[in-house]
Amino acid sequence: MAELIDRFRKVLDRPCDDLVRTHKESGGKVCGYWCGYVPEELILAAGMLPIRIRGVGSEDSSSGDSWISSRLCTFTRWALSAALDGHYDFLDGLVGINSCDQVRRASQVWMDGSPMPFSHFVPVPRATREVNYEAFHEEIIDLKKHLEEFVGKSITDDALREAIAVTNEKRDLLNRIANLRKPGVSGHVDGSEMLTISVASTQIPTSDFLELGRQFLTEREESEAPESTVRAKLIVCGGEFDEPDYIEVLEGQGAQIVGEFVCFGARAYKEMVDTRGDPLENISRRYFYHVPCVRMGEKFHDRFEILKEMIREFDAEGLVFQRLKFCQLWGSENHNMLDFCRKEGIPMLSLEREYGVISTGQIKTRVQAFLEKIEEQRA
Amino acid sequence: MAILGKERWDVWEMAYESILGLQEIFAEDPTERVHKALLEVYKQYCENLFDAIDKNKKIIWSNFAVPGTLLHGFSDEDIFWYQFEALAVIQSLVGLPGEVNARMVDSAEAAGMAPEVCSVDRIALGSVVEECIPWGDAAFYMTTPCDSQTCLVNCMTAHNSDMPTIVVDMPYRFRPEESVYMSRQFREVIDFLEQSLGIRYEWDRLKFASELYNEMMETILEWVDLRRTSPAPQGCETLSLMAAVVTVFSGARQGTHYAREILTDLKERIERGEQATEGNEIRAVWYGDPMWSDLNFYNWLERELNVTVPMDMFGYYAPVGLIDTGSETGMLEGIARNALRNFPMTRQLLGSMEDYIDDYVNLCRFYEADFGVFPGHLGCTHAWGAFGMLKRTSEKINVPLLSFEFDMLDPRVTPLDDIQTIFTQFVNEIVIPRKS
Repeated sequence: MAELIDRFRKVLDRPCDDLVRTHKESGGKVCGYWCGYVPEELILAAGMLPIRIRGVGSEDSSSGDSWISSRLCTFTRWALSAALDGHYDFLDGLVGINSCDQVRRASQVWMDGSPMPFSHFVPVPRATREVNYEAFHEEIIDLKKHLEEFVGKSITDDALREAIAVTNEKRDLLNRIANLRKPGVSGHVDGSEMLTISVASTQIPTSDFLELGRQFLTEREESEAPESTVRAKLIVCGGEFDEPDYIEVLEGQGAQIVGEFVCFGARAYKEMVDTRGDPLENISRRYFYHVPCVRMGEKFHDRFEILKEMIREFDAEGLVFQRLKFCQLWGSENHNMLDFCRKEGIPMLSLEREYGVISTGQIKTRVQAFLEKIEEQRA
Repeated sequence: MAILGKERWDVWEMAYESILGLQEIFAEDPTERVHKALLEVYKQYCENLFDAIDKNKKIIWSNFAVPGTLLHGFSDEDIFWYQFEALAVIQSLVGLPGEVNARMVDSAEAAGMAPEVCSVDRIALGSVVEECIPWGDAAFYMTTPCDSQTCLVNCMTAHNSDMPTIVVDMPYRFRPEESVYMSRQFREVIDFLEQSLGIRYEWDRLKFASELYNEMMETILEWVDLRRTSPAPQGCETLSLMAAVVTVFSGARQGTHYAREILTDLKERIERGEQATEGNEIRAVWYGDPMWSDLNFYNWLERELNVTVPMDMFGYYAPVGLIDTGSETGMLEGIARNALRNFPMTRQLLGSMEDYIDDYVNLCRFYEADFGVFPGHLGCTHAWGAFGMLKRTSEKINVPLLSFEFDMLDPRVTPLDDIQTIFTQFVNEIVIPRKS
């Protein structure tokens, strides 16, 4: 069992896992993408392996800093540094996006500074009426055309359906693993393991992930959690978050993390693509209308309702809201979350962090105090 | 001090009192056209605001990028359009930013708003937290030019879920099809506001407002061109305020009046052979957020360093085409095109870095810049994200670039002395030796 999770952990160590290298060596192409609004199914249907961009690889963010300054979030600076330092040279393409100003700028610097054989930018609207969806769908059609030109063949509806099927399968598997933490469900997985697995699912070929993931699920369904004192069940929420070591620190204090409502977590795999009808339209609709990111300005209540439902499903007693320093969008969400959690009586701990740096001492102190507060309220 | 005979929120009374005080100071000087015009429009704004409250007019909340011209299709007997940024801007220009803006920022941060968000939006949230603005009957927001504005929308819609709200997406690209996309959304806005407020939209009113906008914009374009005059006859203290006036008074007589006054002032100064600086002029292009926490800084630049700013990002308007008033579609697409291509910051920063860099290069060339200024407003993420490119471009075009960190509305962030020292060193050690 330990071997499997270690295999997943190894995937997170660097941008190009051995499985990706094998894929490349057998003639496969790889396309990076920044954000959960980019349809990985489209990349897959084009015959390319989609890899979600992270900030690992470089020793520091200095290369990125010199372009986008140290006033932007550490994730984008580290990711850009990894790109400019050559750690993403294995990519054949990149899909940039305006998920936020920081990713938008980093996307463009990367595309201009380290050009790749294929690069495309997908602007995503920030309002969600039908007229805005139509604009998004036009962009997806445009992306499809560009991918077809690059790979030299049409992306057929059958190819899209196949990509949808396998990606839905991946999402379903991730949900089943995550649900091991639901009350009444046998088996176990802890928060750092779950985040490791969900991040890994974006870093290796889907077929390899499915194989490893199914093995992991089978083993864990029949196992029991190691003995430990669980002081409270919590859900981690926030924006970009692909560092399971951070969750380990939380869990080391007695928290049991039963959900990850973050970009690389549940928000990425919670919802499927509809398999009935036009596949491209279904892809567009799923991505545009999925659990809304804070970049969709007016969608706080939709997001909050989904989070509350997650709290109920997993019997969580509180939230750890984490955000990257300099992340404006999730910084505004902090205000909303504090206010509404107070109104709803949901204990919430708000933490700021830097990418690539885990201030263990600080986190421990604050988490311990938070857990004590929950225990007092429970009593 | 009472406004329209009644006691109001203290922050507005302070601003109003300052406006009246400044009007008295400038009253006797016939050469102070611009200050007088500016103070008059803001005095009217305050009075219109409280008149609207007293008469229970419908209040539409919005952020500053919303094109005012569009909303003039509703009668101003029925509605008042309140932009969240108005309080911050007025306080900065005539009031006490160190006190009021700072207080609003602190209120927003105490309520959990991240300090990295632009102070414009923290002040807006602070004013809601402190309940010192009129409450909206409906809200209309546009997702431009930046994440910070999205933050504001995120917070406002979260806290006012009962308020009918419509959000218009500003597209990333600037092709003609984007004007069509925007105009479709504007039609939805009109229908939405009609239904929410129970007030009829009148296309004849929009036509009149569009004509006023066109007149204002033609005047501004002439002024933008004449600002190339060297040596600069008109100072730069009020340069950036063009954006503040255009934002609030598009499609209104006040906007057209102000544009005429500032152009007339410039022409008169050219005729009189005036120069903004006393000694050999040094010209800078100020490419970013202005120093609205202390406009006197610009006077100091001219007086102490002989540096004038013939053009900046907030004063620059481009000939992108006027509004075609011949049809509803013509008007909506024209308003959309101008909102996309002629609103400061949206024009340069919403889309790709090419837009940002191209304007900088053109402004440096047209206005014969001796140096460029990157005013690093702390919350301006999309500008900071393009800073590396700007630096490299500046080197390529052989224009020295001065950068500094500050906050455009909160004077506490960087002491004025420090900023003055930075400018003094840069001008003396880099710019002047290069010029000679």
